[in-house]
Amino acid sequence: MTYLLDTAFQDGPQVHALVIGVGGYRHLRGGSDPVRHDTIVTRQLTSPPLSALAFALWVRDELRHPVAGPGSVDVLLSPSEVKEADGQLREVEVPSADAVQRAVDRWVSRCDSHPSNVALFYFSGHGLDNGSPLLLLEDFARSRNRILDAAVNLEGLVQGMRACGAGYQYYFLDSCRERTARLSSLRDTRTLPLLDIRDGPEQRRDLMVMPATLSGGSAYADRHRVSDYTQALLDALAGRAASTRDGRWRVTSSGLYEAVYALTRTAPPVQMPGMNVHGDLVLHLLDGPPDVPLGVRCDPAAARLADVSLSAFGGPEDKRPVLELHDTVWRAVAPAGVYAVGMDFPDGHYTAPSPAGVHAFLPPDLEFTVAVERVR
Amino acid sequence: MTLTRVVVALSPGTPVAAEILDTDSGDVRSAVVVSGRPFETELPAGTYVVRLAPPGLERVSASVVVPPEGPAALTVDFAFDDPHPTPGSGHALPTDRPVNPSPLKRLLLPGTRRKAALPPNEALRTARELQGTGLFVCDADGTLLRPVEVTDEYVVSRPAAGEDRSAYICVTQGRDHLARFVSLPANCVGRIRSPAQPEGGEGDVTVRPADPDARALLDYRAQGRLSAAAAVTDHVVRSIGARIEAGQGDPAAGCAVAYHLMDHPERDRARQWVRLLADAFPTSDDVSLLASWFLLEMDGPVPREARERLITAVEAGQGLPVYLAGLRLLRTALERLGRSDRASGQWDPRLTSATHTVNTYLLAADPVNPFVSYTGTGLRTPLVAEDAPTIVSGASLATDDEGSVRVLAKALDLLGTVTAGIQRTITLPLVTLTWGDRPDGGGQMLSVAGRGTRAWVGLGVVLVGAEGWRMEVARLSDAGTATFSLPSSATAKLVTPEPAEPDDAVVVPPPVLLHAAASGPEQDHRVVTPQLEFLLEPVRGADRWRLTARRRVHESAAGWVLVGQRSAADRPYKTFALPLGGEDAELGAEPTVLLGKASAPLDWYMVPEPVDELPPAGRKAILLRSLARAADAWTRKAIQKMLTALTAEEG
Repeated sequence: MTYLLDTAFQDGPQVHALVIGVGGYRHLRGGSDPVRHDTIVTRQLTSPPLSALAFALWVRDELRHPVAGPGSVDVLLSPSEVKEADGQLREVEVPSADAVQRAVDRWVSRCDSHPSNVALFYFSGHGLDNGSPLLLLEDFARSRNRILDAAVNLEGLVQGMRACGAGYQYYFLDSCRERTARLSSLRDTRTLPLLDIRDGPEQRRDLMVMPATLSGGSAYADRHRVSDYTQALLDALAGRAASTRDGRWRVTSSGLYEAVYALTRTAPPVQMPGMNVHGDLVLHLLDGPPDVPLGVRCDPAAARLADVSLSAFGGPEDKRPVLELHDTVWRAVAPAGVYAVGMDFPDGHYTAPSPAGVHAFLPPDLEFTVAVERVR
Repeated sequence: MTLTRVVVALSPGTPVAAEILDTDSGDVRSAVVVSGRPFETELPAGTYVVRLAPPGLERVSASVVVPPEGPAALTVDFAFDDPHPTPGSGHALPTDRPVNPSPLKRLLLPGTRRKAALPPNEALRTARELQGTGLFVCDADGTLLRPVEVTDEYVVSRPAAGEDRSAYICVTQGRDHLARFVSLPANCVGRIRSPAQPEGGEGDVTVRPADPDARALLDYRAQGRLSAAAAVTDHVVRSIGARIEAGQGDPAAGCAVAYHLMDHPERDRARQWVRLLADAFPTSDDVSLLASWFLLEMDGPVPREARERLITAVEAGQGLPVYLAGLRLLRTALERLGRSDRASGQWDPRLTSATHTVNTYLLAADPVNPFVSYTGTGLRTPLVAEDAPTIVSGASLATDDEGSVRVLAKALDLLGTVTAGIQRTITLPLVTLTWGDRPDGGGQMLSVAGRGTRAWVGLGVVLVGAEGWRMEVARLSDAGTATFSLPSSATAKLVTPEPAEPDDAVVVPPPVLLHAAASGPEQDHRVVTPQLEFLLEPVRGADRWRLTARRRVHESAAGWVLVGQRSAADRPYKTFALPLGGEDAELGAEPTVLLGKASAPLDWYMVPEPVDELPPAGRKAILLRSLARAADAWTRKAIQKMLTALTAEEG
């Protein structure tokens, strides 16, 4: 077992995270023990351990749940070496089927200790879909005759966790969900048994299952980089999903989904995160308005001819973000909030209203377009 | 205080999630602004930003300054161009008349004016004969309602009144492609855009409810705007609920709300809503499913009626939900029933079959569409596009025997697990398979119906039992049937040969029973078929598997056993021939060959029946290969004798 965070047991509710990142697959081509039978997926991956570690570190260092305090962050990675902040390499447990079974047992036991506990589950690696997302573990394809016995059926895990007492449960799944003909013919096959499924009414107050893509879709990442989905998730948690109520900035589960949905669709190849949200409670509190990327455009596109300024509306005068022109958009990173937009055309070819507008630059609506007119 | 009105111009009745932000205090108020009805609120002096999230469109905002000595009233106007205005009545409306009528129109449209509607399968077959995109609408049992011509864009709508059950928009793209079926419930609008190019794919099909509240709810969810969906929920529940209670609602709108409420932790709200729907729309399949689900969620045994309703809905193929969320719920419900059965030591083959059928729909379903939308070869035969047998365009089964055999092998694979006593049919572009009990009670029958080919006549079809080593081989008759004798309720798979490798240019049965020695060299493996017994064991001191074959029944004639092995999953199987002694064979003579490496799993197959003679083509290659691997003197001698005879023939 490898805990990045392991606080002493407390009476109150706690956040317990199980984070799995599988990039190295022992039995696939290039692994330490490749097999010759058809493994459905073939490639080794480089992004998942980086993505998983980035998420785990965020949970350890940044997450502030309104009810639950820090609890534990259990990490399983393949390859198993993690570079610490001081540059030292550290070995962590490898997410083989056996190790994941043990880790789930530990996680469930911790999560079950308080009805207001928060259970976080994150997986990055190869994935398939046979009607339910399937998460492929490090020793996937170890058996030719039971090809999925080192794969987790996510739906089974989520249903099994119904019996766990944690009232808040969040599942993040960063993997493809390919449906292949070979898989279709394996419908009766068994996946790794993790939890008994007990029927009964739904007791969880907030439940979110957010796969990186819909059934049949792919999830993308650049080599040796945090994946598109996890980066979107981290950006969303850091503020792109934030909203304000009663003077508090917070991220709710539905706001998180909306932000990740928008952020994963900004550049090709486009992926569409899946959704299974049951409730809409606060997952993360922020200290204040988050710094977010703001943008101001002109319609028609005449931004290059314009001088654009922003001034925080109703706030101190010195809150004036400095904008820079990127292509046809004036951009700045500044605290989310309401800004008065000023737009001036020194050469006089265009005119804009004065002020050009008052706009609430609040996530996810961070761009404002000013209608300008050409001077004849 | 100043009365502030927010006015939205969108499709009438559309609810829009709004926020009014006080720029001084940072307070945010949520509101629902309904298109066509001004939203009014009292605001004290200050500056506000009104943000609107219109469903299906980008967010917009406007600032409002309320001066201290302001006017009695202010109005903030928002106007949007609705990209999908709702047609007023339920008909198929071309948005642009085509200059040239399509082949489909020429073939089908006149028919609807003068003749009875085409039966669904005939309509589908006819439509698939066309080049390009075809389009028609069929109801739940497939009756053709209205064929419409292909054009750039079509709107097909169904009136709110009348039959609750779904009709389907069917889009075809010729015989080489699967058709797409999209559920079109009552009071919904389908929009079909054909591809820009003739070979540009199937085009775009969207279905949306005509009810503005349900439409907004689904649009928000499709955009990922869950908070906006949550914001309008109360309004939508009130509006649609009032219409239902006034007898003006429709099940599609009601069920959109129901599935949305199912995602809410307060299950009582969903339960109450479903109760309302059950009273108003007792014949709706989605409502029936939702009501059954809540019966399942109650403690205690599952009511027989609910169980029967769920299984029958799938079996008849006419009780499937129209929403994708419903199809998922149906699968979950069936799986829950299955778990309950297992816990009490029961097994219901009808339930297993129904679960399999729902899974088939789900696998072929478009996950983006809130309504059930799937590819398939027919309304009741969904098929994942990548699973369809690939037929080279222009080729036909009649001219391509090898292709015919490949298609049959694929079709049997797609037929999946068969059960004695339960009929299964799968229809592919070029072949239809039906498994069922023989009418005379003499076992089960597989019927193969294909167009214009006799390539399957005489072909062996092997039935492999799901448990144990039970196996049966039957050959397809001239009528395309094969008979089996599976015990009651037993399950099995059917397989048939695929073409062999060129150097083994003989028709050998396929790897009917792949057997991997995955448990390691310490264990022997024994495979028994009705006529033969195979023993696979590691050879001490040599890194090889030894395979021995023997007859299980007394037989006086000599013959051959065919086995194969391959070195990797992507390599072809190599065939070996093992001689079987006749009456004059030495006592206890059993052929043995050495295969693979004992240190690695062995991927091998056997043909479960002995053959009298080796086919002429490729036999020399097989014999030479077998001779090289023969592990005992008797086997070597028998193979050498055959090779010598071959050489004499050639000489």
